[in-house]
Amino acid sequence: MRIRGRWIVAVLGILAATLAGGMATAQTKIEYYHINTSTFGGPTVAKLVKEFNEKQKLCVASDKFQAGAYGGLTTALQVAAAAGRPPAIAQISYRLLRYASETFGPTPIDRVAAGEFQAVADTYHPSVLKLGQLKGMYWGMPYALSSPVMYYNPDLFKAAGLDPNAPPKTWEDVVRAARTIKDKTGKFGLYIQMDDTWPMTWFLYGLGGQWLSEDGERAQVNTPKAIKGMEFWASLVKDGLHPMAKNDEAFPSFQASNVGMVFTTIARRNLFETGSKFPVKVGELPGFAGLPRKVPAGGNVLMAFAKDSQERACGWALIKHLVSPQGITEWVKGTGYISSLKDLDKDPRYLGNLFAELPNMRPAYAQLPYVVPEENWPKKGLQIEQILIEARDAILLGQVDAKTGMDRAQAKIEQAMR
Amino acid sequence: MPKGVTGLSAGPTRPVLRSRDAGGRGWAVLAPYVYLVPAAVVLAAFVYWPLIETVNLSFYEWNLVSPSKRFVGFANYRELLTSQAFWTSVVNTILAILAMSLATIAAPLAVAVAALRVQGVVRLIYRAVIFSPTVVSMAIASLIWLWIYNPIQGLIAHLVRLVGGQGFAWLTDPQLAIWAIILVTAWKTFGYNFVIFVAGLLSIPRELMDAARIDGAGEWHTFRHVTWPLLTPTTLFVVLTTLMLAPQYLFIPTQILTQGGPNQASNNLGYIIWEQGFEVFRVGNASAIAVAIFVGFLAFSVMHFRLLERGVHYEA
Repeated sequence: MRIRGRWIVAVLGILAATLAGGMATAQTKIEYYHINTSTFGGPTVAKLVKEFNEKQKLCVASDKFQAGAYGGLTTALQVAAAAGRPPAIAQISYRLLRYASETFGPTPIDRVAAGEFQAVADTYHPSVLKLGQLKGMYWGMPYALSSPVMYYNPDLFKAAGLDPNAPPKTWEDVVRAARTIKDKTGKFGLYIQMDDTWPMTWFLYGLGGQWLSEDGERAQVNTPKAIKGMEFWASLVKDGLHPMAKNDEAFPSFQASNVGMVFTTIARRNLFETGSKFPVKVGELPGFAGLPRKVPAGGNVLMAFAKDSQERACGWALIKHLVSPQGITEWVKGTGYISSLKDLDKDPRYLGNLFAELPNMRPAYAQLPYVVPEENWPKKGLQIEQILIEARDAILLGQVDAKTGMDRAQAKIEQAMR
Repeated sequence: MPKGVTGLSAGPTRPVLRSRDAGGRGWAVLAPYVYLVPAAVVLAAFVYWPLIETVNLSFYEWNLVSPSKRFVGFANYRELLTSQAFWTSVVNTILAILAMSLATIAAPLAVAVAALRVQGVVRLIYRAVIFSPTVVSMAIASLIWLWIYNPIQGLIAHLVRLVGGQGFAWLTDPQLAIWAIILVTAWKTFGYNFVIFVAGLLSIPRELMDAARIDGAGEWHTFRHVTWPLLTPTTLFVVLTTLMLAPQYLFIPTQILTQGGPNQASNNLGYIIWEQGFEVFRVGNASAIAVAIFVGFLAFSVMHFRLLERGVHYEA
């Protein structure tokens, strides 16, 4: 009996030790959805997540790349949410902030962060912090901050007799430069990114318009300013200055010196600088002559979707790591995004040498005073984006004039928002 | 042996045998159904239940995550009748099926017949070259063609410029975009059907063709009256698989090359369901399209199979 009793004690002891060990090593696993491809910040995301996993033992994060940029990520998020397994955190485009907050039931970030929110918020540019705010609530921590810029090929500028050190300042100058490049070199003058509706907003805001009524509830995509913006873009295509091509076709063509200027996000700086046959230069996004400049911000906020409190806590810990001065420093250098934290570019420990190391970042910072948030569609944001893309295609292809195209888009959007 | 013993031994034996017979017959009747249960459960869970649920969802407006669905009756079906994107997709899918019939049924058959006339190492090289696109994934094939189609510096644009022309905007021209997708799909699937036809041709007994030739039949008559009838089961298989799978094959190149654009010009039935369901999250609309396609293809399949079966000759 005594021997059997010892055996029982021993077995119970081993069980207890195993359970205790298990408890001690129990880690919360979380997922982080992002849009960064292998040539567009993906390795930096992986590095930051690895550092997070190594510096603490309570949470294990895994980064989950979602193809198809913000639309693709939103799709994946919607499917994951429908399956009841949303990621702990995800990058949400500024212009889908309202859609995400109304559709996926995230937890406001100041509630997730509890007492730590203010300390982190104080490190931000105040204007940038507002990008994560909607109707008085902070839904996410602004993370990727980009602005549209002009990449240009100084060799083609020289070949066309243009001054490579004086890039065009207005859209009118851009057209003149593009025409000169076309006439003198036979190459396309310019290309404006075509994977989303962002450039439509550049023109609209540059002309002083907006997509929504003052109360933010009604669409107004067929205003004279919206139509004028699309007429301008269509004229570039019609005159043969702008190829009707996809990003995947036009960007390599720019890198191979077949296009003079490309207008897209500063976040593609690294891609263009490392993959081009010439020393790429960057200029600010032009405005329209005589009109105040407005540059719609691009990028994303980090939003918290976890339902479980432990996962939420881990999600916030990961966000804190990503938006820390060190995290943002790595992020900016690895991608080309602008720092969302104030004074980081003046601190030698972080981005103090940024402009010396990466002079092409300077124009993106120089236009920060003109950066404004994009409007958020009140309902059916993804459907409305699709309607606008179809309108853009029809107008640029010359299937309809700008007025007809935008009138039809307005009717479809009103129908969708009902 | 005493009578009673015999009677006793015979008495209880008969009912037992009857019972076993009955049980055996019962099991014989039940067994096929029992064996079918695992497959039936899988089919019910992954085919029939989603089918029923798709029909159900087609009467709602829902975005996949909202806790409440809004019943809209036949509104999603009514919308289809006036949807330009839907009808463009129908026309494009029919175009694709017709083009694929020529490019991946008639053409591989002709090439297979020709390839069998070539002898030695050249025949192996032909087969390898023609079959190689089949082993490339559709995504990779699409990326290769993305480079070939590039209107500014792609292979085709380069060749056209050599003869003094201008590159075509294959993927952004509304007239060309669907053909660009069909071409990629045909290029990828051509080799598979080619190999099936080669196998079918090789299985035809050589002596039948020799006999026809001895009887004075020329090349065309031998093919028309001997090869073709014996090849019809293979042809039926190729035709049915190609026509059923063609709309599905279009999905990946559409997703990678055009996303259904420009302005819906290259959209097709396989892609539009995904676009409506998982890009703009109009689940009810996507379900209505899926139901319409199901009904259309069901009718098409029955008609097609009956027509084709009449002309098929199976060896005795």
